[in-house]
Amino acid sequence: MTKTVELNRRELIKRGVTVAIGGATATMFLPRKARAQGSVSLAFVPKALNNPVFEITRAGAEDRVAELEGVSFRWVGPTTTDAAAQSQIIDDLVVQGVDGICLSCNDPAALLPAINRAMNEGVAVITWDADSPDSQRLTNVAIDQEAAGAMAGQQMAARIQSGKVAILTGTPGALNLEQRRDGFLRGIDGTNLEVIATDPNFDDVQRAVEIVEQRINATPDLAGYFFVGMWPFFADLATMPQLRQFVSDGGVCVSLDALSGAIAAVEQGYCSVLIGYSWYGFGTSAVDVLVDYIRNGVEPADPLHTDLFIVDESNIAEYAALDRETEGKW
Amino acid sequence: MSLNEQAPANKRDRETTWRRLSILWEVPELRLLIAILIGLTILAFLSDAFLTGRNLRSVLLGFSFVGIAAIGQLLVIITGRIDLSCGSVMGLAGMVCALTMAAGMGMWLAMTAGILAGAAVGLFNGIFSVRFGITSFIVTLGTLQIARGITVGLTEGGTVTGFPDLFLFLGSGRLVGVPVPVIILIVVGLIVAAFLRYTGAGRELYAIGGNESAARLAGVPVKRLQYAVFVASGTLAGLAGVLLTARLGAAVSNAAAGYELTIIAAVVIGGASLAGGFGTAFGVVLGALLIAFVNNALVLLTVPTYWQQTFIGAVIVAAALLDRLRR
Repeated sequence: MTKTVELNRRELIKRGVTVAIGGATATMFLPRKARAQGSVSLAFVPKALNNPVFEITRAGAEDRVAELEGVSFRWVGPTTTDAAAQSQIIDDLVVQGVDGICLSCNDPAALLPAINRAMNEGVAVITWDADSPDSQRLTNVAIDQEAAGAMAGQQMAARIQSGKVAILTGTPGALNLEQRRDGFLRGIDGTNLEVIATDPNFDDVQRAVEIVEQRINATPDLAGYFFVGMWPFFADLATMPQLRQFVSDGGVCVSLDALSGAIAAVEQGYCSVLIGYSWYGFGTSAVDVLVDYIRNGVEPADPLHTDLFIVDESNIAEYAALDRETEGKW
Repeated sequence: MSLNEQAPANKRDRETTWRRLSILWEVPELRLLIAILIGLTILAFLSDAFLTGRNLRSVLLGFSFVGIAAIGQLLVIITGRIDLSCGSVMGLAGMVCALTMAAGMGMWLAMTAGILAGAAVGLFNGIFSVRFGITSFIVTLGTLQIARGITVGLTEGGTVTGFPDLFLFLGSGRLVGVPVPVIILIVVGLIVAAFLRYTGAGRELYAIGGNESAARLAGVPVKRLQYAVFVASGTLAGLAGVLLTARLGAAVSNAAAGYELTIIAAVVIGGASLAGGFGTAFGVVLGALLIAFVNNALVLLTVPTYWQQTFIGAVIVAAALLDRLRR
């Protein structure tokens, strides 16, 4: 016997909403791996959308995703560095049902609860560049920050054995910058190099340029300058004639990062040595790690450190050619 | 004249001199100027590098961008409103200018486009704040996000470089030994100072800030002037942003991020009241100059990294307190 029920509009809406909520809830609590059998959706969350270095990681991730079948990619982040906004974005991504998240943390402690919530919901979370080491994230795709700093210190010590050294850093307290600085101090340990100042630019390029000029001017006997990141090289090099004069007078400038502006700085005599690593490679590696974990359950090694390399007068032509050829995406 | 007659005369002279000095001390800009000069004298003793031409040029160059935007902000604050979007407008204007140039347009056209972008945000602020009556704090908080979002969106976080030499000259070149942006700041400061002091519209701005209802009853075109100050603030922030791009030789999408607080601090240190009705262009320039010298002192005196923000904040509060005590 067939029973026909006559539904009015209100009843229809009520039932429709109930079914929709029920379906969505059921889907939400399905294991992520089960949902990922066919397709894999990944989201990358940079520290901020206004930082050009992250765009190179984005290019690497997009290129790798394009080579894989059934993998979708989203790039979402706060406009400016904001840990609270990043935390909210992660929660939203979990609700939206992504399978994997790759995150560069604005603050290791502030992001920890959101990372753990996502992992507990079955979303695979890894970090790149800036880590949240005490969270449940699977791994950190990055460089060994202390090793990079130490390499910078060793490069400086190989060129000058004594004298005053200044350090330019970004925002005080940022974990990766602190680790680089600690590594640098370890690298110059045992020499007669004396660190006289650590000037923060709060990630402001204009402030970085100002500080470099004022520091060189204020310290006529400055022998070495360590840039914990390449902030001044985002500006036109011609705006820093004193830095060029400093290097041409025998001062040693060592900087982390080997993106286009920094490569040009070595080429044009504004910087002596770069400690480089591949921001593009972060993107490709992170996609591989996440897809392998989600599809095949392969647990990644923790941490996953990428190689460091040195750019100086001996190989600058080679790196400059590579940079031009790939338009900075290498 | 006997000795008995001479003594009261001397006393009168001393009282007159003291009264004159007291009147001078009542001028907030002069008091700030004296405070700055005392600070600079101490700094000159503590650091040999301070009074060198290179150092002073670097400080002046850095302060000029904040100074230009702060003069625009002053006009809004005099009327009792506020413009929180100025830092983001600087970033947007610089990026619009850079992208227009990158698209093959001429330098002057590109600079105009950048400044007009700033004016457009100012007009937007004016419409929503004046026409729709939304508090300027909220409207400009919104446009702070919108302008920054557009800047980031236009380039997807990227950087634009490759400008003509003349453009770079406008950002860091020198005329008669003075950086070009500083000359532009002086010109803007003089124009705004003359406007506020010698024109009816300028004086009406103070009337609006003092008592908006009374100003309206007195026949002051309140709404028109409120629109005008928001457009002026956007325009000057746009000019500052274009010059900042010229200074760096690069348009970065986080340019001037957070500058709104420094700009507002410069206006308040310069003697303006956030309640409206007070403030001068000269005071604002001094306020910006004080902040620039504080930043310079951090480098020259090698203030410990982790304490620098505390140091800057303490100076801002002390300067504001100095002004408050007078009132």
